Amino acid sequence: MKELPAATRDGFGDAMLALGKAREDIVVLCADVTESVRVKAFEKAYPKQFVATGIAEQNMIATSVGLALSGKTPFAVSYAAFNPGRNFDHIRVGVCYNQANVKIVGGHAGLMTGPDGATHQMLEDIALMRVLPHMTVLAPADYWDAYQLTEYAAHIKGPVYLRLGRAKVPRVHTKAYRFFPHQLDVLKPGKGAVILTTGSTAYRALEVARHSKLKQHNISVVHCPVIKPLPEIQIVRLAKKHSHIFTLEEHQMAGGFGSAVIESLVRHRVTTPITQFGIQDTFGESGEHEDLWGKYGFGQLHLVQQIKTLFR
Amino acid sequence: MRSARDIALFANTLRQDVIRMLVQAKSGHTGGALGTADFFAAMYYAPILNYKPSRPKWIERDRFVLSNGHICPILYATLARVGVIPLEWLNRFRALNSPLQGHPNRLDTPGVEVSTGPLGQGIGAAVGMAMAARMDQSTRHVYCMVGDGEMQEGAVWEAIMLAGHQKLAGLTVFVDRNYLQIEGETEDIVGLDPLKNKFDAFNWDVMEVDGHSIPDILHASMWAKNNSRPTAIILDTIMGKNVSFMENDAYWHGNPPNEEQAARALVELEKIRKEI
Repeated sequence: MKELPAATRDGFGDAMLALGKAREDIVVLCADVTESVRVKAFEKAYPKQFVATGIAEQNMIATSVGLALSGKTPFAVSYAAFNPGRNFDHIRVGVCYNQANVKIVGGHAGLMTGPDGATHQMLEDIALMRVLPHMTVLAPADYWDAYQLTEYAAHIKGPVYLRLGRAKVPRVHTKAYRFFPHQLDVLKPGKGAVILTTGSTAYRALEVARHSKLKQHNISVVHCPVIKPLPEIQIVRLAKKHSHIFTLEEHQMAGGFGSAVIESLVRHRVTTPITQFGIQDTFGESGEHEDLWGKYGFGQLHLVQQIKTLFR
Repeated sequence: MRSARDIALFANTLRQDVIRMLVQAKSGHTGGALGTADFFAAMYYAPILNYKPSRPKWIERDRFVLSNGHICPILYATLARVGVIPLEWLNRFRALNSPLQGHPNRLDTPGVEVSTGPLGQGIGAAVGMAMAARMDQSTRHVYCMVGDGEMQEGAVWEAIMLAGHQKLAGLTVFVDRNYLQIEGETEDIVGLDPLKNKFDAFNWDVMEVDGHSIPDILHASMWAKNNSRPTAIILDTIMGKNVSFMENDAYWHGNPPNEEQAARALVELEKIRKEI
């Protein structure tokens, strides 16, 4: 991890800039948060491809649907708390039931939103989006991942939800990284136990597996950027090659990525034991990213301790 | 432009189709469908709408969005009678596997621009379509109908605010102002009046017309097309129009006629037809 930490929102913003230049059909809509979700540069560079919707997330999606059905490729951008938090029906019917080519970008997801506190720390968006038919759900781990997932979202046809975080995180990939949609992203090969993670917690998973107290166990770390459609065959294979799975996500335990993994393994009658790490049915609060992670069970030492108990 | 008499006859045909469709389906929204038949005749048969029945995906077509999607029986009857969909489909409204779903589904039914049902979404989509037309520097026009009860949804006003701010001249919204919703009279529940003033305050051009006068609807539409701002045409309509025992009765918002009621309705509609 040689490059400077960067936020997934940065990777997204840079990718949008390139996309706006390359493709006239790309339109960005934003509900008054251009700077913080990194589309201000897009607005300045391509004003004819940008729509300021004002603080109106429901209509942002409805308008996106109209644009998509008229041949545009709209990216509807706001904080995950409001998008999909506030406009779920519009996404369910307007986007998914219509199978409209709308890309929903949920910024500031997770606790790492920080000082704004619970109302702005969306912990339920993966659950909301993955239960919708025709929806693709993406959660990048770092800047490079976010850049390519943004391109992927623009490339595929149909509804997409892209989950981004506010905080700068250490890069888990280098510039040479290539995202492949139907493959799991092996960050650290190993055996025995595997930490299967998605999005913002990928760097923490690596730190945990590499910690001096766990190093000798050679734990695998695998990132799953595409939560839906879940690469089930890959996950089943991964489960069969390991003796214990730990899932890790900055999201409620109920209904998120870990739930999806559990559902999949049960469906395939795979009995590898699973331990879920996630938010335990609570809201967040104000604080700084790492302090909040420490308090809510994502601290490095805490996770190391939890995993170590398995090896006693 | 077709003659006033032809358009009136067409509207009568649509009303009869609606009654037959709903009594067969044993389910559906009768009142609003009957109340807007004159409007739909004007829109699709005069026609106001610039479209090609055999090419429902023609890129430069005008768009019509039915935001109050529950009155889709009138839309389906219209699409069948102008040849966009087979007439036979009207026999299968709301049936299992039917191409005519209970609320409009664009993936099943040619001529449906966007699937609607939850109120307040269609008008937002219409705004997006009008924006796309402007981005494409196209002269195609976007028409949208909303219900008056529907305008209690805040999302409708988000769309109106945005269109007004953006001066989306390529958008014309018709309001089915029948003063009724499920629970009764709109003005008793959550009043919308003064509605004309609201549109004006949101920087739209607005006109109120008799929703059953086809010449007035045509005249207003032409005025709308020439405006440099989005336009609202508030159609003063009677829910259940032309069936005496259905007129102005909120019961008929969401109930279909039974066999006996349908028979009586068709007798009345035939009588009106002969007088046209």
